[in-house]
Amino acid sequence: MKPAIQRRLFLLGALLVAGGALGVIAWGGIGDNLVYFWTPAQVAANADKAVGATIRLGGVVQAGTVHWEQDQQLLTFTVGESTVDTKTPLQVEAKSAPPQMFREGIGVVVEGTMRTDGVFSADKVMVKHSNEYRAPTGEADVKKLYATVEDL
Amino acid sequence: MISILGRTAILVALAACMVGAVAGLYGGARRSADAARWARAMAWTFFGATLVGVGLMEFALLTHDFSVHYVAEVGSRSSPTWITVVSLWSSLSGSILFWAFILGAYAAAQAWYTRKRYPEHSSYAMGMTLVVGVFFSFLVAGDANPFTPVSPVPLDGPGPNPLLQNHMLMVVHPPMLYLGYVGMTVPFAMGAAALLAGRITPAWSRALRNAMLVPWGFLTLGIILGGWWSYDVLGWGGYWAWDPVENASFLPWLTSTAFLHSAMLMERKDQLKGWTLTLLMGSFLLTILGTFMTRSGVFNSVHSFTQSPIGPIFLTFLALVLTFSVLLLAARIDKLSPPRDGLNGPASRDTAIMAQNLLFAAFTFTVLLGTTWPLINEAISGEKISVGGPYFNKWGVPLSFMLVFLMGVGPALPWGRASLDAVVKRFLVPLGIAVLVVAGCAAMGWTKPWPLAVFGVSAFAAVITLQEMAAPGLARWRKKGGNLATALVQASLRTRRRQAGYVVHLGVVLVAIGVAGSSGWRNVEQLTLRPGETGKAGRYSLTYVEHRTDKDSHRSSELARIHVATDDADLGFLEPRMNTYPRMGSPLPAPAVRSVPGEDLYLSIVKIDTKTGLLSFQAVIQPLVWWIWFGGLVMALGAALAAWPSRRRSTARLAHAKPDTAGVAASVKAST
Amino acid sequence: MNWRIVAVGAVIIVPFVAVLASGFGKDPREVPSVLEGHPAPDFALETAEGGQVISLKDLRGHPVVLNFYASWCVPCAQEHPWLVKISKIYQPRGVTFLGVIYNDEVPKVKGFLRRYGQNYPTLQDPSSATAIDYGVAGVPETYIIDGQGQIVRKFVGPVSPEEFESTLEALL
Repeated sequence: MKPAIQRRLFLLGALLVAGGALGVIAWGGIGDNLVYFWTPAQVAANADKAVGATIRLGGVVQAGTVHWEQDQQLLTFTVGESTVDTKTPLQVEAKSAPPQMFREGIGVVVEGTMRTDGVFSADKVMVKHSNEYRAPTGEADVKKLYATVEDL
Repeated sequence: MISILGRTAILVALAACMVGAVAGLYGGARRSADAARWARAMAWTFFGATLVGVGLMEFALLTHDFSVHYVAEVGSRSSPTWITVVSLWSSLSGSILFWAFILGAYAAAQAWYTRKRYPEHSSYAMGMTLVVGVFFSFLVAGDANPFTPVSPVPLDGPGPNPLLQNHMLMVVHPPMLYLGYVGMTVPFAMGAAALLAGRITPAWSRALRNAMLVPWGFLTLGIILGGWWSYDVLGWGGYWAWDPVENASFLPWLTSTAFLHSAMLMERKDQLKGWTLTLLMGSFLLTILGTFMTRSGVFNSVHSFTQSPIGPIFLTFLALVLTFSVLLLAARIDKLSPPRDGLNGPASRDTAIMAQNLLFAAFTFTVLLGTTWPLINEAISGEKISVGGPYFNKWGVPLSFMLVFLMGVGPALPWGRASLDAVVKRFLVPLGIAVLVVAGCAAMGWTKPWPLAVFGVSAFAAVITLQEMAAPGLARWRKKGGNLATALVQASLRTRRRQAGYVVHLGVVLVAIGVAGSSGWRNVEQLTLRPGETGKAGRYSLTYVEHRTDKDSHRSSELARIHVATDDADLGFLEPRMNTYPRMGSPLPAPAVRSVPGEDLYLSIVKIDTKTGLLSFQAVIQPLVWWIWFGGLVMALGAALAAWPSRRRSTARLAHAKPDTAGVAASVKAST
Repeated sequence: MNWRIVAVGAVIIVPFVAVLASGFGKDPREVPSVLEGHPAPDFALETAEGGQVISLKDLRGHPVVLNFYASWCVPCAQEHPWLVKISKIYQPRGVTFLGVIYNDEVPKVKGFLRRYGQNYPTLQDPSSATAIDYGVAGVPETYIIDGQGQIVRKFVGPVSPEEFESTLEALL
């Protein structure tokens, strides 16, 4: 073989090996580090997968379930699908003070994982209240609106 | 009125770009100096028109003209003036206008810089820049038009997003990032020009690399300032979260840094041309992708704007540029002259640069995959997920470690071939110092493996870099005698670009140390105190003195006054706050930070009861955070030093394009 | 033409662009709305004029339209005259229309109502408690609640007239 071709083959081989290895590594690495966006019902449905996995749990704080132990900085509450959830309420334990807007009946997003005892252990508690205000959505919508007014 | 004027200015910009793009490409293909002149004139017109557009928008913002769509969206009578001024880039359509203006400024700079030079390439390059200009003017004139009149006219506006109002860094961080992003257009256009012309001269290679240095410096500064902003505003005590938008700015930084190094091989040895041009085009494409990520609403991020109609347009543009780049590369790559004979020994700077490029490519791939994975996954399985920081850290940390190592090794290696013995000798002292540093840190009880390894490799790289910086001066001093300091300064001035590169490297070392230290020994304490009570966080004792309410025209804040002391020093007061903006929902914490080179103490309110004053807060203690900001500054300084134009040199170099041998005497010796 | 580069490029470009395009139309921040089909959170709020308290419980048996708005919000101003007109048609047919102030001051809202018309009560929500209960992320947002107190439809941004009317017609 000519040296030029040999070198090219070698390069191609090296690239393939490197690319393949990288793909495998990245793939595996990603699989271990996914964060799932789940609701309490989805956590219940994926009980086997939930233990140890990082989960961002979205739901509503159930009335009468909030306890905060100030000395231990331990916050416990129950999260449900809706304001009153009797099917799949999930017990949450967080090592943090309740955030400013936190209260019963509010939507929250908590990040953490399921423990084997069925309690959701959270590292982060966020109140689900967006700060976005909605900007004008463009003339088209408004014109459509006015068109229907003129029909009246 | 302003709506009409503004729209006119944008249409003028659009027309100028169209005419200029055609003229530039024609001038390149036909070697017509007249057409090239036209293209340059149109670049100036583009700049003028966008300047008028930005001026009009600022005028409308400052006069609270709510009949202008953008002002109605982000303006507010109660905002302080500085917020009103910077709200030009606080929301989507304004920032696209600002973007077009920066592109106009770059186009004008390009027109001025290439007006008498590079006849073979400059007209093509001007044309390509204006092609990109057509896209942005089109966007401003069409879907993202901030000048659209509003009817009925509202009496007042909501003001910009409070997250952006919360901090002065908002004034500088986005413009820096935009200057970096937009500036990538120029080297992209110049690279495309090289392919269109089918030839790369060493002079054009050098011009290309210089053109990349400017946006690279801004991008670096923008990324560091972005980290600083999120550290000072977001209240969780971190500066980097592998958020999609952060990644979006990091990706082109990775590829452009790789480019700056492989371009040296292209310039000197005519090697790696295809790869270097791919990196160049990739960098530009990644800036477009980054903008798409921020603006399309497809990615979930703290920084991104709401869902907007321009996503599909950006994606189309991205696909078009991608296709164009690939086809251009495919059509012309074989026309470029074949590489000069390699002579790349295993222990040479050439090899180090190639290895560094491979690592950068791997880094880019890893980050890109992690960032787009949620989309890929949702497209395939429909499941909503995101990729956590641990994935990025898992690969980013070892890759960065190896890159810092190569940064130390590379400059000490000669071009071409070297004898292994000489090489090993050069590394003995730095290696010894690195071992001492590691041993010293370990003795002081800092024993985490990765941060310790990074400290060691940073010391190694720093020592070599300092050696290399001093080498030319020392050689001169030994030969000629006289004052050592004068010799060092004079030799450094003579090798400014090389020294500037080393300054950047030192900046990288500082950042690496800061990141390793702050992430390695991060300590978070949760405290709940009543007024008058004292709590402990690490070596600090924190006394919660009082709370009070401050009312401002645009917000009200709940402040907690906290006295900070250690066993042997009184460190004064820190006042973290909880800001409430009348027109936004939840309050935003504004942390208070005590930042000194050794260690940061960062206090952020979690909850404050306005009646009883009961305060829950986080105290984050992180060493060496300060080094990151300082290192970023050093990097930007180095880039500025390198990019500073020196007319005399560049014309002198055109005459005889031989490799730069004025540098390290030792390496020259070793290579011959 | 170097076809290898073209081939490699195509292999990269096509799936990449396809994946990016697949993200359109989905809001990555959206956690599925748990409200539609669920009981509407109750509230008892004072009207902007003061004096009168309106509570959702008392309105059982009739459909309720709840519109969150603010004077500083452009689309609200654009939508408002239409809402006033449509309320004149549906109020006689037993639909209660209510506005709820979102992060705004009462005097400014009164100016807004003078300008864009008023045909139904506007309620104060000083601590945003009701807005939070409903998960309002921005204004305008409009909810249609049926006679049993269930949320039937949630509009984010200005309402779509066709859907608005067909939803109400179905309830009457």
